Amino acid sequence: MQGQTRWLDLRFLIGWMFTIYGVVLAGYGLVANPQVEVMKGHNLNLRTGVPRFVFLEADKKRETGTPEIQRQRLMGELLQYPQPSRYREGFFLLSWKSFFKRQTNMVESIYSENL
Amino acid sequence: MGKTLVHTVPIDYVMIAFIFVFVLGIGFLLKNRTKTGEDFFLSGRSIPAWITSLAFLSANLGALEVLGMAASGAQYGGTHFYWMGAMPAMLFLGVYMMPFYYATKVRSVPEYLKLRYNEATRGFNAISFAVMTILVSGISLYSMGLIFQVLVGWSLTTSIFVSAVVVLIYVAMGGLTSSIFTEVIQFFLIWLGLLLIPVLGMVELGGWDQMVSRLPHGFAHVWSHMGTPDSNAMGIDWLGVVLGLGFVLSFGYWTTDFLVVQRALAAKNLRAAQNTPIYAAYFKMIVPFLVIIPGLMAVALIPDIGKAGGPSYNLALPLLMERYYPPGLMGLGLTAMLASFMSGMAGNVTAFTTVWTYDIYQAYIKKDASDAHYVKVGRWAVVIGVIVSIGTAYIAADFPSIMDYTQLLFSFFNAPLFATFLFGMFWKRTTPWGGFWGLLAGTLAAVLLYVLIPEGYFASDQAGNFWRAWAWVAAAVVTVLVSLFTKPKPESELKGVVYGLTEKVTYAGHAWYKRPGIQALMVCVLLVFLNILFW
Repeated sequence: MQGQTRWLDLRFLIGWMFTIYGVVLAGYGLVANPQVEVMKGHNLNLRTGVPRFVFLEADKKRETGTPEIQRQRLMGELLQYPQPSRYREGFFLLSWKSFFKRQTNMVESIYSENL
Repeated sequence: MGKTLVHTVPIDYVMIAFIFVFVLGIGFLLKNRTKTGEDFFLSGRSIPAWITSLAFLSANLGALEVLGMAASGAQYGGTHFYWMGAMPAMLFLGVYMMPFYYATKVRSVPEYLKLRYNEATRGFNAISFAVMTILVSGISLYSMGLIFQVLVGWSLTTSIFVSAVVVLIYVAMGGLTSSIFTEVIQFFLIWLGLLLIPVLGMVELGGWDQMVSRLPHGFAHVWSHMGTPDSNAMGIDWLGVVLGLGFVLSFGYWTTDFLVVQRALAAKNLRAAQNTPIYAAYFKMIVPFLVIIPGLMAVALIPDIGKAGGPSYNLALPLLMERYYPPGLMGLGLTAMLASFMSGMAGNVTAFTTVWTYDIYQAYIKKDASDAHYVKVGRWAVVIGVIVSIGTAYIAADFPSIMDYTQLLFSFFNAPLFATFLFGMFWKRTTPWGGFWGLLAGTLAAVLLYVLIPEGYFASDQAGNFWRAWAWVAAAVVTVLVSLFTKPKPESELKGVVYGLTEKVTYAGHAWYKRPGIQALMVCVLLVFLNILFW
């Protein structure tokens, strides 16, 4: 049941979609690095792909929690604390913040290189 | 095949295939959870506001909207369609009209018309909506096929069939929930795939000021060139924009079109339903950066766009995509366009299905069947709706101009319908037959105005669209006149249906960010700020 609800959580689905597109794009950018006339010298695939990939990775790491929390969870001390959905929701927001930050960094780097 | 704009590589097809698999997977996931009519047609009225609001916006962000608004940016400049057109209407829907739609427990817009007026008004609206929605869905199917033919050289049949069948399968399985879920996912995908266009455009042009200096005068402003009709590309003054677009046309669309209203009806409670269009307004505010700005960039970068011999305005966005996106990213961009197309079509199909099942089939063909029977009819309606859309797409391929008219006609239905709703909800003296004749007269007036005024009379097509707001006036006058001479419904029947006879809901106990009124006010402030910033 838990597994099923997880799949019906839109945030979870969107996270996976971003990850998969990120991995495919970044991988392709690393291997092939195709260029277009106007934007010569930029590996656009890699730059678009990587931030999207990183953002879900961060999400996953946070979700498992620190070793201390993991231990407490195992011991049953934290039965109430990490309410799965609330917990994910909070970190969803967090990871969005880091996502946008990375996104701005990327844009800025394109900008500065261009100048 | 012939010459195509874009050279695709296998990786692009992997990207495109993935989104098809993804949305089909969602359909399968939701199939077992969709049992009752309430589930299939209304998502069990259980969806949180952030999801319904994204779906609300995404259902409207179809391919015609994305390509069309980029074209409009390139042709006329300005962001009136968003910051003057859509948003005030969305706020009005959320704050004032949603309580009537949601609290009366109606399942569709025509059903409200029956509650407020009579069977005839409902029947007229249901049939015109069903027919026109399916035609428009076919037209957008055709436009999409055309873009992909020009861009990557797929045949019309390939793109029409593949995307239509995918939409058919996931909507038939999961009903409105499936449509809403995929719309939200597609909303993010559209941003993911298209956001880089304005960013890279800015990089190439060297910033905002550089872009503005290469644009025709006034394109990057909203109001400063609206003083007289001759000073802007639309050929219309500010009053025409405010009354024609801001009031009649956009209120007509956003507050009465079941395609968008249906998303709010799926919300889990009245507050979520009210917040649906209001949250959506926040997102709507930033859509111009995704579609209008690329339109402006296209003018700056591709000088012969829209001129004789040059590419058409409709290609503004695809041409920029071709300019900037390498293979790989191109696949993502194409996927985003397909996603926008699929969310628009799924929106049309679910709205059609509900209106057909509840307002035509249940009302006129089979009255007292079991719930399971109606779900089955709904699933078949999806199949038939998609098949008819495909047929329409091929008709459109043969008679492009006729199909343009159909779509225009559809917009005619909304303007008078808004008069019918405004009087119905806020003036309890409006009588059933007043509503019916007003709606009929308004629709006829819209058609007549369109047929009788010769082509080329207006400065631009857009100006003609705006002045067709007179249809609203016709509907309003006839509604009032007929109402004064016919018998109104007894007040006991109008409780909860009309403004003066309904208890007002209050959210005083809730936190400020949960209250629709306060949220709407905040959007208003932002809206005024944006209008001044880009004055």
